[in-house]
Amino acid sequence: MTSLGLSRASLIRWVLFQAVAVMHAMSPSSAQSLASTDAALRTARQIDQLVFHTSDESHSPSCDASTFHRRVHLDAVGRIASASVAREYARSDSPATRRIVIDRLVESAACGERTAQLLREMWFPQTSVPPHRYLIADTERWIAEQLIGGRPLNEVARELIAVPYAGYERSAEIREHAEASEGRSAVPRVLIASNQYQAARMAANVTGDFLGIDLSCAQCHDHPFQRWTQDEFWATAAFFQRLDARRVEEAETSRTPFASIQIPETQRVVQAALFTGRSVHFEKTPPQGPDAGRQWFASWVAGCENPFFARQTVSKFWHALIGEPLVASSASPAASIDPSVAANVLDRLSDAFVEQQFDHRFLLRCILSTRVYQLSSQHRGDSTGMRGQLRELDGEQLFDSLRVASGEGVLRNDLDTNDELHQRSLLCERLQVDRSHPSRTIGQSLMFLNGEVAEAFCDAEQNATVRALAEARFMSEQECVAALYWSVLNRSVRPDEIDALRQAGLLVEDPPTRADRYARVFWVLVNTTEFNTNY
Amino acid sequence: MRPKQSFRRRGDTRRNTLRTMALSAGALSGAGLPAGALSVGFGNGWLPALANHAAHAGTIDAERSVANRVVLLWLNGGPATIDLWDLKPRHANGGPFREIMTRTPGTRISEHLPQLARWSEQMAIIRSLSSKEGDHSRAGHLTRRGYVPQAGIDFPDLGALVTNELYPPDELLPGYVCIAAPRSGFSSNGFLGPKCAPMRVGQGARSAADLVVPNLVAGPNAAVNDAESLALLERMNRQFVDRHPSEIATRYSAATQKAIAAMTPEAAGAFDLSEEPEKTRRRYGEGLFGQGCLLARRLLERDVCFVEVTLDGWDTHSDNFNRVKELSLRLDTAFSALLEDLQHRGLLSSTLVICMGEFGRTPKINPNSGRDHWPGVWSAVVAGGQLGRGQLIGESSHDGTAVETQPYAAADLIATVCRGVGIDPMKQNDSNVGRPIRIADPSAKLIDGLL
Repeated sequence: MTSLGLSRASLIRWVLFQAVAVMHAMSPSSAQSLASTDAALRTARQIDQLVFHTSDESHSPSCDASTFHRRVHLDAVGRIASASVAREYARSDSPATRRIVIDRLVESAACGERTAQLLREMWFPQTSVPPHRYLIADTERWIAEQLIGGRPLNEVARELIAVPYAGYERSAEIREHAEASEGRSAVPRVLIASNQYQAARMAANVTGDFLGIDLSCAQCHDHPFQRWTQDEFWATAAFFQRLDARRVEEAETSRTPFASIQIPETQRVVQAALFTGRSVHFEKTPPQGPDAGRQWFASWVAGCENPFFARQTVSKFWHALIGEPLVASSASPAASIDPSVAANVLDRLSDAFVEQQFDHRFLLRCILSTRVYQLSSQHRGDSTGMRGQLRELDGEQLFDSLRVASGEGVLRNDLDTNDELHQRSLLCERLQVDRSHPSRTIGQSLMFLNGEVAEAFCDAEQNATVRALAEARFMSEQECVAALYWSVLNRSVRPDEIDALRQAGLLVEDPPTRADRYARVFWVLVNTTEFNTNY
Repeated sequence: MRPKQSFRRRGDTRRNTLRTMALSAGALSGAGLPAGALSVGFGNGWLPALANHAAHAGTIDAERSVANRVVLLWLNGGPATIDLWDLKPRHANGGPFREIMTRTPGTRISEHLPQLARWSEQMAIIRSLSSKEGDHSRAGHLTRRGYVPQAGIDFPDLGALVTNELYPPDELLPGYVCIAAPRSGFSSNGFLGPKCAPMRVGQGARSAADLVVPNLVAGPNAAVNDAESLALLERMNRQFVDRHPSEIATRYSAATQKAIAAMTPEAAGAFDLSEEPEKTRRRYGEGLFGQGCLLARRLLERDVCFVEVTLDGWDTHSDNFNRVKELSLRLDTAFSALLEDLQHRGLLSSTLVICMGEFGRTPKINPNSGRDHWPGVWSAVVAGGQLGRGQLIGESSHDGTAVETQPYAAADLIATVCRGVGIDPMKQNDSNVGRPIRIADPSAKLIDGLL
């Protein structure tokens, strides 16, 4: 033992951990991320201050080290950590190491891919159901590319909304645009395709999912409960109406280059107009071309003057990471946070998000660093105080976590075969969750108990983790079982669980049966509610 | 082992029992019994009057809610109903098939459906359905869910809607079973959630031997057969729920337990056709569809409330008549066997059987002796459930190209079926886009003559 009361091994590990952190901080490319980290931490403290200043904090315990690291891995990169990493984080846990872990995860390419999935679901929910599921892969791939390249979220959104139709690419303007963005993949036309080329649907999609403003109920009549009128809906849809060649020519000499639109089943024609009531203005020359209206609207969505995009993005990210919304809606239950506090949190976080130029990494760092995020979901006997929210794992999180737990690497688009990637895609689709009805079908449960999951991941011959442990004769039975728990559940095995395993005949000194017994333990663990949820 | 009758549905009441008895008396009166039989006890006696009084002393729904089970015989690919239920023998569009008489005066159907012709008094043929969807996917969506596809809304199909309304969530078997679907994603619980999800039996099956529930039967060395492992799993889940009391944790643990229970002989045995006598299996036809209908009957006996059985192959762009003849044979054998079996077991009056596809086929025969997609006019059949009473509803034109009288849409059929099983078709459910969506399209109307 050193004079600090630490074992030599623990001290060495701590020093190495800090050294890595220092090297990371000194790297020139990390200067920007450092600034972002500082801003994120400041904002996180402000959020915590808003949330907790009226409540007694002792009634809201934080989650333990293992739980935190498992949770943040699943949220940031979509899978659990490996056994060695999970064990290491748990041993060296501290507020400082948690910050380093958050930084490392948020900066990773895997986080870009995970966030791309979140954004695709958020912005184009219609692609999660047939017949538009075919758009998922390309959309997520493109968004991930932008995020990994550090593009601000508002710019990503703007490009997706303003994407031209196919024929327009032949025009000179678009050729110039393509040259400017040389090396980047073509922007997916998911907005157009998933809304069947219809102006009204595109308008409802963009206002509802990018801005959080539900105009769609006013499509057929003035909204029964909110202030939106039918005219306002169709004036918004007019931005998305494509101009034909004659109208394009007229628009070039007109002060209002956007389309007008006739409200169906009426004689009323409305001009494109913002639902906020503010007038449309142009900084330089008005945009031109058949999609001028949509391109202008896209720029307005991405602009700093428009408060809705930032608020909607913050609200959705918060919901995804915390497990409950900041603002209750017809689709989301009420939050446990006091509504006035939630409103203040939304304001503060949205302002900070805009100040940080719509940097998704800032937003993730901020929310993951709050005490709200790190609350325990365990019941501690008293009913006062806030509690972390349990969430389901989606198909991608489950599949990738199974791969990690069984000692396989995560599949990669650039390395693995199409067959393997297709199998992943099929399995993920079958394991999809419905977050408004959290549960599992009999078929999904059977996949784990006795089907594809059990066959692929719980077989003693095929599971690399089980094989390695079975052959590790230098490790005791208890050490092997402990390693299984770290691999699958990212935590240590409890003493009562050791007893239960002994009673079940799965923890015995019998080397020839190790592989079968460890495979059985693996099967039990992947079928637990614990493995299948993010707590 | 024959399962005991369940009185679980709507917590059987005296009113329901008496209503069932009265309606069974009504069914007997329509089954061709000698007139004298009606005057003895059942037909004209005090019991039906008493039962009817009790049955009608309630809401409109009580009056309508006779059936509580539904079977959908899905003819996948768009069946040439002009060659099944609405022949045009005196027109060039009619093709080579002849009509035969049925037990119902004035009703004639294809010569290749002779067994079903004897069940005409239990069937209603709707000959005036029409839509604008000629694409398989869109038409299937419309016919099965009552709505055209709308961006982002994950509409549930009829099976999920009925299960959501009628089936208790804690039953051992799922409320909705889908047999022999041709591919994945064919049937859907949509935004109603996992409790209404169909259990798929024999998806993509090629023969009756493939009519199995995936992963339901475990091998001898499977972990799920090890009591110690199951006890360990149950213990871990219980402890987790204790530590993290939440709806999600409770539901996930319950879902695992339910799946384990579904693997027990009591539940899994429902899917075991080998328990059926050979004679019964032959009566249904030993192919995929016939055995699928037999499986449907087994499930209905165990109170599964919606079973769908698919007969694929109706997309007859070429060689229509040979293929339809062969498919008709399978349909005729299995459908009539199902009606007979349900009646024999006292289930026909409480079971609504629907037979339809996503659209019809072109009256004009193409150069390949085929018929192409034709949503302009097509037929569907409803049997049992006290809705089928020998009706002929609506007419098509003499050349089979258009609706002549009583046009109806798919949504109308869905609304009427819902009413037939006591469901309010205008009831709203919360959708996945935050908007309430009615079970049937708000513009839907009930089909005259069916209820």
